[in-house]
Amino acid sequence: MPLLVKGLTLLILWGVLVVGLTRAFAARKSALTAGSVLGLITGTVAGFLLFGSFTGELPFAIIKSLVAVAFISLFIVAAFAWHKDPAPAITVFSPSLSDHPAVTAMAAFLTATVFAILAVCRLSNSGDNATVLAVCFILLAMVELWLVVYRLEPLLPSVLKMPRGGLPLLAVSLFLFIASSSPRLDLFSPLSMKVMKLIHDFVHQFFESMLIPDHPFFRTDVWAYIGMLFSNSVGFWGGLIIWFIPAALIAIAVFRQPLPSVAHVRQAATRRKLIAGHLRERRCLLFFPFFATILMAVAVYESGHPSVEYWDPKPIAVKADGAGTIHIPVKDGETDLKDGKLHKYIFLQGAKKVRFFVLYRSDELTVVLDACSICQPEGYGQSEGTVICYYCKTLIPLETVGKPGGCNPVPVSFTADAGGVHLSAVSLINTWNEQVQSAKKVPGGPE
Amino acid sequence: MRRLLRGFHSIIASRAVTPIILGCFALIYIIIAFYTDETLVALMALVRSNSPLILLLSCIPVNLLAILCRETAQFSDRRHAGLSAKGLPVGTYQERVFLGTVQTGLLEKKIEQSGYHYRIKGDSCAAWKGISIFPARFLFLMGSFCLFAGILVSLTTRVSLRDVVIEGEPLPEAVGVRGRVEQITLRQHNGIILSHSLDMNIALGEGDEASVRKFGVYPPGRINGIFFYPRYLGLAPLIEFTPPESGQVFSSYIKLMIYPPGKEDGVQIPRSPYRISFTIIEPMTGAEPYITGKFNLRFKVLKGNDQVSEGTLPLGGTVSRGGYTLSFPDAKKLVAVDFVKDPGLPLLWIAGLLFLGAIVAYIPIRMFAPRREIIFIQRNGSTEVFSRAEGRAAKHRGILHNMLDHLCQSQ
Repeated sequence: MPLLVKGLTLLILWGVLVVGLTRAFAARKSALTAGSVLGLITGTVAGFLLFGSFTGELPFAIIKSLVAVAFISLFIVAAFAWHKDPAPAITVFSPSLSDHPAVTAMAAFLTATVFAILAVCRLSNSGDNATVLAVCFILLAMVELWLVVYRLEPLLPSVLKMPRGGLPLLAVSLFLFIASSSPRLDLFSPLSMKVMKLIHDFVHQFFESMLIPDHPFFRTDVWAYIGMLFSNSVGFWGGLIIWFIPAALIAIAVFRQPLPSVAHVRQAATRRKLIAGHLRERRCLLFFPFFATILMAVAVYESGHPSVEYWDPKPIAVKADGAGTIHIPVKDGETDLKDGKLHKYIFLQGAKKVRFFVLYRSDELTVVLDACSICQPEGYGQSEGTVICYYCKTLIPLETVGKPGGCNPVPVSFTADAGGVHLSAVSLINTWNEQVQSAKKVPGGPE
Repeated sequence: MRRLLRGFHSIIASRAVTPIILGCFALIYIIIAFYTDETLVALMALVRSNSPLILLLSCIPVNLLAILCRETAQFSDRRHAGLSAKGLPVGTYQERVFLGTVQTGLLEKKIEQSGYHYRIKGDSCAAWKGISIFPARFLFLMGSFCLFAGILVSLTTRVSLRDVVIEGEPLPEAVGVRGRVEQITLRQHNGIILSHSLDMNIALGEGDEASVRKFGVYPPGRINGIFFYPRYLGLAPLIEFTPPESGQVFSSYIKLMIYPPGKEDGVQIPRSPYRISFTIIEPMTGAEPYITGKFNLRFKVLKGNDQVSEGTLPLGGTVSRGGYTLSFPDAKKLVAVDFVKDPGLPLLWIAGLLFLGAIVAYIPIRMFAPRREIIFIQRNGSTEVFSRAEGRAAKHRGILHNMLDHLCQSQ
């Protein structure tokens, strides 16, 4: 059933994309159809080759990079759309150039290729018969293409035109929407994290560059305001701004189109009629950017509410013995450290709370903090083959858990024997303090 | 050659250059972000060590200066055009209309009724209302120039050295300035932004020529182009330590970055397995020890990884516990200071002031009195009308159209 829903959703999205393509290249329907069919076939073959040749996270990383490149390219398209007099070579989608069949076919081919790769990625990893279903889906998409281009699209109102840069915006927003439904392909969460890091680094560099004193000299209330720049929500809102910049630029470009000069018309009523007609036309041009904005907003929502459920046990409280060592037995009641699942623990000392987890992977046990040294410490959950950082939604392959760096959980020094794992409470607290508590959230970082 | 120069000028003064270059740097930033978490630092280091990138960055101030010159010239042309109605700059007016001959008297009346000021000179009439936004634009472009020039200079020439200055001790030799730190004083300061003021009294020079200068927190003091940028406060306590197995006494001033209270730092006792860590205890009264000078230290003595003793030690006190003796007879205040040589910094400060000026000028003008202009030029029996508005354009357009309707009806 979920596979059917996925397939139907993708078919609807493909239909929307084809409508956009047809509106952008209305005069070249045969070139558009040929380019799209070729793109669907190429994308399907490329998708199956990718998943057939590589295992693990690599195919997903490649597809995610493809979507990221499309998203970055959208900024360039939006900037040129916004600019009043774009250079002729760049106006790929200007009416004169889009009339050329080769341009039409190429645009349709690229769009259909990326769509087909994403569709194969979403469908071929969903079950046993998924591969057959993915092929069926692509065949259905071809039928839908013919139906939309030659039968349905002509029925739509002719006022709905595609503005400059509107087609790339629609296509990329659809790609982002499809990608956001899988944590492996989602772009918004890593973008938010990078934005948070950028803001942190920028404020830190700004303080250093302008020789602004650090927090010992600041009023606490002023420092609290500065501290707001490092909160979770700033990364989210900053990411949101970047996410919607292309759509906003393309919409503004529509509004920036100069109204026709009516100063030579000497009847006020005629002047008003001319201006009103132009304004109406301009409003209709906003239909596709508005639709793309809604898709991107839904993508943000999906990114924050992934449908995948993660294994995230409640942390078990542990205590240190007289020598300051925490002992965790391999088997304790129903708990078995070697069952391949992550086992969370919490160590309390005074006001200090340290969360960590033990995981059996690659035939050995590893102990790591339930936090990384970049993100806010919201912890990790486990899914098939990976753990996910709840804050930035980065997926970390199980085999790299225990290695330092990036968004990997911070490793903790420990010893393991047949009885279990043993770690120093002081070392655990110090690691948490150094890597999690003080490594972020203040402009100067650790002193 | 002239065409080539004109082409070069139009590229260099294009408003697209700066966004394109910034876009390139954003792209480099994104690429670096795939490989490292310290993206901004890595980008700065890359620019610093890469001549083509420095060249690319230096195009931004050049472009901004060219835009500034072009817009100043356009503004000047427009002003003169408003007065003389000759040589109107192409492309700077939003509307252009041709009418038949217009009666000057009627034109004056209509302009007056519309509430515009006007001036008639020869065959032309210039009408205007409001204040031009150009001064604000000038400040903004000038500020942008200073900002990017400052960033460029700062990135390529900044030298920074961190060291500590200690009360009663000479300035670090690496600074290259001869002087002695007379006194370090921290005070409560009820400012809008800062809660503390710091005075570092430094005697500069030697003998009779020595003069004492105060260096504060912000703006940082400067000698010979070197800024004194105080970062963190610390303490240099005189610590005397005797372990039970040895009669040897360790006695030295040690540099500890243990301010504010609660922050921990320590010292490894030379040629021994001992390490002592210290924190300043926050007094119950809430008074800051750095201000009162009453320091009370919490200490932990570690032998290897084992803690062998701990306790508290007031200034001037001695503690003997488990065979270990620890004394704290004296303390000197210290400040960790970045000695920064950065010729780009004044440009960055000037940029900040110019941006502030631009905002202060822009908002009231744009809100309350944006510039609106109409120019009538009578030539060979016809009238050419030019119009532009920096704000309230729709209203201005309506007034112009009504005015033109009336003038046409009377023809």
